[in-house]
This record gives sequence, C-alpha cells and structure tokens, in this order.
Amino acid sequence: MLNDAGRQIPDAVDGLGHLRPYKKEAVKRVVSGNLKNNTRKPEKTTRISGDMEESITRSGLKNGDRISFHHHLRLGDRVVEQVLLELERMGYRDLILCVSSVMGPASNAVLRAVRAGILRRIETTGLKSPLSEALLAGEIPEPVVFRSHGGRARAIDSGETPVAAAFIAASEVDREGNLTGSQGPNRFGSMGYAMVDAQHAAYVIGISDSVSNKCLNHISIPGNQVDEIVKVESIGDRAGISGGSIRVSRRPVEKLIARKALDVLIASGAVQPGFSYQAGSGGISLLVTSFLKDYMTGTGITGSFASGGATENLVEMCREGLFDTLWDVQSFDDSASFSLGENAFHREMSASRYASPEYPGCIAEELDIMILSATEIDRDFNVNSITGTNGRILGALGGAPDTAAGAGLTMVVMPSFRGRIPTVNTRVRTVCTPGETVDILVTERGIAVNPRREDLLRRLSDSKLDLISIEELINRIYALTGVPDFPEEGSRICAVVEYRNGTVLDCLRI
Amino acid sequence: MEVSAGFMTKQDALVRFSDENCTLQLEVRSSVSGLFGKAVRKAAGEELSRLNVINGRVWIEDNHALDFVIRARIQAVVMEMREAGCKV
Amino acid sequence: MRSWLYCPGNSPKMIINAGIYGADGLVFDLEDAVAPDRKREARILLAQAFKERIVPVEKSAVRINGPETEDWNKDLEEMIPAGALIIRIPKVEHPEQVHRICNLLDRIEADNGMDTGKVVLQCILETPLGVENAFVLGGSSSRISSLSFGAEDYCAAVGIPRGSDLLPLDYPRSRIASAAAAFGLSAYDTVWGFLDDETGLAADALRAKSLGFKGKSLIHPDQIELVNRVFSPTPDELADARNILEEAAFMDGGAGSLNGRMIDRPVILRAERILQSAEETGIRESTDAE
Repeated sequence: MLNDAGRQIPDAVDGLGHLRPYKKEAVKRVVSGNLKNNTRKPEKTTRISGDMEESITRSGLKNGDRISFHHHLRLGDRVVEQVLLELERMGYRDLILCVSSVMGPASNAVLRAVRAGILRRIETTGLKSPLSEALLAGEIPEPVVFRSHGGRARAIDSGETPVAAAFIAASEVDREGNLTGSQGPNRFGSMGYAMVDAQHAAYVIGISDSVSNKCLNHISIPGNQVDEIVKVESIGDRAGISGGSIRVSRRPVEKLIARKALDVLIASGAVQPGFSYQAGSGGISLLVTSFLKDYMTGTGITGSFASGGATENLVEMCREGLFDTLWDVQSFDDSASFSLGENAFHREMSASRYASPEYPGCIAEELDIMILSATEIDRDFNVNSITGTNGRILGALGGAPDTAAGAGLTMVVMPSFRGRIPTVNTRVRTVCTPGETVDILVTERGIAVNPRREDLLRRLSDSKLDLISIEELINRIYALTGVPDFPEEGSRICAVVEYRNGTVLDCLRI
Repeated sequence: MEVSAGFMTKQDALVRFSDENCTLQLEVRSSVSGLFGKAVRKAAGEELSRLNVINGRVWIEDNHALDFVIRARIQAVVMEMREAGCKV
Repeated sequence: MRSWLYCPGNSPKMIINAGIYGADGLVFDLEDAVAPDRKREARILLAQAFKERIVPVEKSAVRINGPETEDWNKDLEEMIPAGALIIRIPKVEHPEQVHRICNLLDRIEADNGMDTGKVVLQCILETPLGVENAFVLGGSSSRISSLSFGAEDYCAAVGIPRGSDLLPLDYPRSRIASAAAAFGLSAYDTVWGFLDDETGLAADALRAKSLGFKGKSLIHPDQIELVNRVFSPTPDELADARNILEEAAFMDGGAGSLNGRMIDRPVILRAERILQSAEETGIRESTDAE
C-alpha cells in the first residue's frame, strides 16, 4: 500500500513479518528522560507559573506531610523562606521538614515556622544558629533527626521518609522543565542532594528565577521528574551563594598538622597511582589537599578521582591532570559552580550515588583516602561533629559517617585543643561517626592509630612519625588543659543521630 | 589603686586587682565557664592563697587561659600592688 | 643547634606552642617582644611556664633585657629559679657587662643550691662596638657558650640596608665566627625578617654557614625546615665524614690520604664534628628532608 510519504510498502515481508505503514498523525514528540529509577511519571509538558500558592494546592500537600528542600544555595538561600511563608499564609500545620541541611537565612525562616506551628519535626544533616539554640531550649515539638547525606538518601530512596512535596530551587530551567544549578545568574553548581528528592517525591516543584527558552546545556534534574515550575523574582543572594573564595590557612599549627597528615598518607602507602581522594573544606583539610597537590606534582603520581564537596583546589587539580574525575555532590565555591557544566572531568553525583549504603558501589565506598575534621574524638575513635564538648550545637553530620565507612583510610585532622577545650576526650558528647570506621587521628601533639588497624600500625611504625596511643595523647592534652567539667545531660531527648543504615547511634538530651 | 595584667586575647586572661578595704573577693568571668570555670576559679584562689592575699577585689576575664597563665597573671597583679606599697 | 625559634615572652598562646614545630632551640623573648609597661607580667608568665614545664626547658633560651636597662637583673632573679639554663644577652658590647651578669648569676646559683656555672650565656653582638669586641667578649667568661650576630641594629648603626646584598655583612659575620671559634664557642646567625622571601632566607643562611655559623635564629615556624636543612650536613657530607674517620682508624695516628686528599688532624676533627652534630640533631644518613 501507499503510505503517507507516498511510498509503496508491503503489508508483510519474510523475516520481519507485518509492517506498519507510516502515518502522519502517528508522529509524536518523544520526550527524553533516561533515568532507570524514574518510570513512574507520565509524559507531560511542564507548567511554568508565577503562583506558589496554586502550585502548593495542586501538589495535594496535607497537614502532617513531609516537605523537602536542598541547601545548595548555602547562605544565599531565599527559597526556603519564601515557601515557608507561603505555607504559613495558607494555614498549613504540623509538617515534617526534610532538608539536606539548613543554615543562614533559611535557619531563621525554619525557626519562625516551628514557632508558628507549621513544622513539627526537622530531619537534616545539621543545624545552625538560631535553630540550634532553639533545639537546646526545647522549642521543637518532635526530636530532630540527624541523618548523614547517605542516610538521608537511603531513607528517601527506600520510602522510609516519603516526601509529599519537594521544593527544588534551580538556577535555571527550560521549557521542558529540566533543572540545573550550573547556569543562570544565581548558579550554585551541583544539585546532588536534590536529585534524590526529585526521583522519589510525590510532587516536585522546581523554583527558579531564570527560565531559558533554549535547552539547558547541562541538566541536573530532568523535566520528567518535575511536576511544575514556579518562577520567582529571585532564588537567592549572589554573595551568600558564592560563599567567597576559601583561602588556604597560613596558621603555623594548622600547617604543621597538615604536613604530618601528608607524611602519614605517604608512609601508609595510600598515595598510589590511580588512588581516590576526598577531603573536607575545613582549614586543615584544605591544607592537606594543597600539600598533596604539591606532592603529586612533584612525584608525577596521578589519581583516579577526587570527590566532595567540590572546591577550587580540586577543580585545579583535575585541570592539571592530577585526577581524572571530580565527583561533585555539592559545589562549595564559584570556581566549582562554574566548572560544572564546563569541564568534562567535573561530574555531578546524587547523594545516593555518593553515599547511600543501598547504592551498589557508591562513591564513598570507592574512596581510598578520606580526610575529615570534627569537634572532638574519644578513646574509641568515635567522632563528634555535631555538638561541642559542652553540648552546644556547632556543626553537622555531613557525609562523614558515609565516607568514613567507605574509605580505605579515614583520617581525622585536628588541633589537640581549641583554646582550652580538648578535642580528644575520654568520651565524646555525641557519637556521630562510629569509631570502628575511623582509622587515624593526626594532631600537632601526636598521631594515634586505631588499634583495629594493625596493618596501618605496622606500616607506620618504621617511619619518623610521632605515633602514640590515643590514651597517651589524652593524658598529654589534659596535662596542659586540665580535665574538663563535662556538663550533665538532661533526660528529655531533643534529637536523635541516625547512622547511615537507619539505626540510631546516639541521642541529644536536654 | 587598681592594677591589671594580661590581655583578653585567646588563651590569656585579663586580671584586675583593686586594693579595696574588704576581705578578698574573687570574680571570674570565663568564656569556658561550663567546662573550666571551676578550674579557673580554683587556680586563681589557690595562687592568691599561696601569696597570702587577704584583702582586695580581683576580677578575672578569662579567654581560654590554661592554669599556668591564671597563676602568672595573679602573681603579676599582686606583686605590682605590693611593690607600690599597698598592703594586700 | 641549627635553628633557634624566637617566641614573644608575654604571649601565652605562642609559648604553649613554641616547642611543637621542630626547631632545635627556642628563644623566649623578654626584650623587644615585650612592651615597656609589661616587663613584669611577662617575666612572671615566662617563669611560670618554665616552672610548670610548659616549655622544653633544656632547649629553651631566654633573651633577657639588655645590660643597660633596669630589667635584666629582675629577669635573671625570676627566670633562673624557674629553671632557665640558657640566657641570651642582647646588645652586648663590653666585657664589663658580661662580668656584671656573671656575678649576679654566681649569687643566684648559690642562693638556689645550683652548681656554679650551670647557667650558660649566649651573647648577641648587634652593634659595631659589639662586633669589634667579639674577641674580648668571647673570652670574657667561661659561661659563654655562643656568640650571635644581630644584623638589624648593626645595619642601622653602620648605615647600610639589611636585605639581599649580603657582601657588606661578610665582615661582621666572619669576625664573630672567628672569635667564636677561637674560644670553642658556637656562632649563630641573625634573623631574616622578610617572611615572604624564602629565596632570600636560603641565601642568607647559606652565606652564614659558609662563614662558619652553626645555625640561625628564626622569627617564624615557616622558616624552620629550610634553615634546618641548610645547617644540616648533606648525605654526601655525612658519607664523606664517615669515610674519613674509617681511613683515620686505619692510619693509626699521623697523616694519610683518601681519594687524593690529605687527611690530617684538622680534617679528622672536622669529620668528627660533622658526625657529632648530625647525631645531636637526630639526622639519619639516607632519609632527611627532600
């Protein structure tokens, strides 16, 4: 028969069987969307509107449900505030806030929402002032749940913490509803934490101040995971998003610790061709990365991948060919934000891929070296990164429990006391990363290897490093500072610290 | 008369001593009051006792000072006061 | 001692950390680093740090105030009973100053039940007169263990700039190194104040080493690694010294030769000194700084 293109087509042919002739009206626009996890959402065109209230109504969000945000906009975030205010106006109550973290102006907005009865529970990796003080003052109705990045991903992936509505800020969107953080006036880089939410939330609202008529160069979250987009005036404050450039420390004590840390890495044999590496963004960790860079440049050793927490120095190292790939779950500075989408070596990864214990071969488990800091560590090598020795909330879990569990060599770098406060104590206030995953502690007054790592002890005992037992280190420190008067804990549980697999590691009591 | 020793910088303590006509008063304000407030007070008290200081008012503004610093700054104000002829 | 790190005497934070950076020696400063109205509290603080062993006493020198000030004697009265054993005297110009200090030290040692002569002195020659008097000063007392050069004040007095032109300082350096050697003392070189100029530091240190200085004073921990390296024998020098002593053992007195070089007493002595200083600073032959 004659098809609509004017050609003769047989009904059937040997081998292929029955043929269907071309028909004009049968041609449909194929929407690309290739994530294996996402088969749930039907094909649609993405609505882009300016009305937050209507979007929320369409989401079907009810009182008591869970909502989620990412914190990729860091101190420059204005989205959390806008959405929470809208929810307040609409009269919502008793919601659960599930965030990757909360800081800066977002903290103020969340506290306001807690006090107004809009939020009953917070699930996060960390808290900052004034939310942290409010927690310790007992203002949050239900205990805060601290999860690591991997733990949060697992909980959302598995359906344990179903998200009814995910509010995902993006620095640019296109007409298909694709989201990105690497383009637009308020670009912030990787959307790693949000990727998990987009995959599993019942309703996904993208929020952006920049809509592109062209397709995005780099798609972080594909349009077929996004239910609709709300265009706002501004998603954030540029200066706050940039975070400033992170200057490498010049402090002598920090440099000394970083030097020792590098000596340990070299003596342990961990720096081999093809090794993988991740370090935090604290002062000493950055110095270690800087010294490692010089060492690699000098010896010609190159690694396979670096991951994080992408920062300028890691981007530099990749540019110079010292690592093949930079896996980025969160871009910490403008250098990193601008590099993603520009450099082929710079790859975005979701929090699942980064650290979920359920993700086969997640990046954290492929790591050879992990450098991290903490508020304190104890004689069992348990690490505290949330509370200070005196119980005040200072920080976050981050991805430390995940990378510590996965890395071949997990090293904590810290000064042995900060001011008068010892960082190595007989018992930490809050266990955030269990000691069995922490291998070595490097301070300016001594290096302690976890006795579980006999292999490491063997390798390092020949070197000139000042190895001592952790008990001996504690004695050295207390000899100078005195033994602290550890404050009593209350009896009311105000927060729980979940390990990455969902079990509870510790509680905060007021 | 009032004398002072030390600075308010990290790991130091600013100690002030005035020869008021009262039995020894010791006031401590510490930025590590929870963890080391008692220790600071103890170190200061013991040093004042060792030096047989009976009268006067001592203020300590502590900023993470170790015990040896507290002791030294106390010694310095007491010594200065006595060298100036005050009976404390 | 290859390196002497200066530390302000009135800064608790710096006193606490002075000993961790790997300098061979420390100099706790009661002189220029302390404001005039803080001299008392500084010496008391430093004395307390010594008493409680916050600092590594055996390698800690104290730079007291100069012999023409009102403070030097109080510094000694406070620091010696606290445990200080090495005293660095600034602006030394006349043997009379050394004698005055020694007399007081005799008395303090006796009062404290210490052996006479336990406390040693390091003299800083930092004025033209001090430099000229290097020889008589070196021989002025058996307490003296070293002579140091202080370039800042010297250059100001002579009217030359202190910087990368090292030639003008060859004379005072040589004079001091020579006087020190005449009495079997060590000579330590002046500080390099340009912290961002590492090349300058290296050149300055190498020049001093080549003129006979054993080590150098430092003002920042960042300078330690470079200076330690400059004043350490190289692996080649160590191997050479060992070879010489082996050959000397064979020779059984008298002179001999090794690889076309005459090995006589002075050469042997020098080899012994190299190995001894290497041992004191814990250097091993093959490893050490890259």
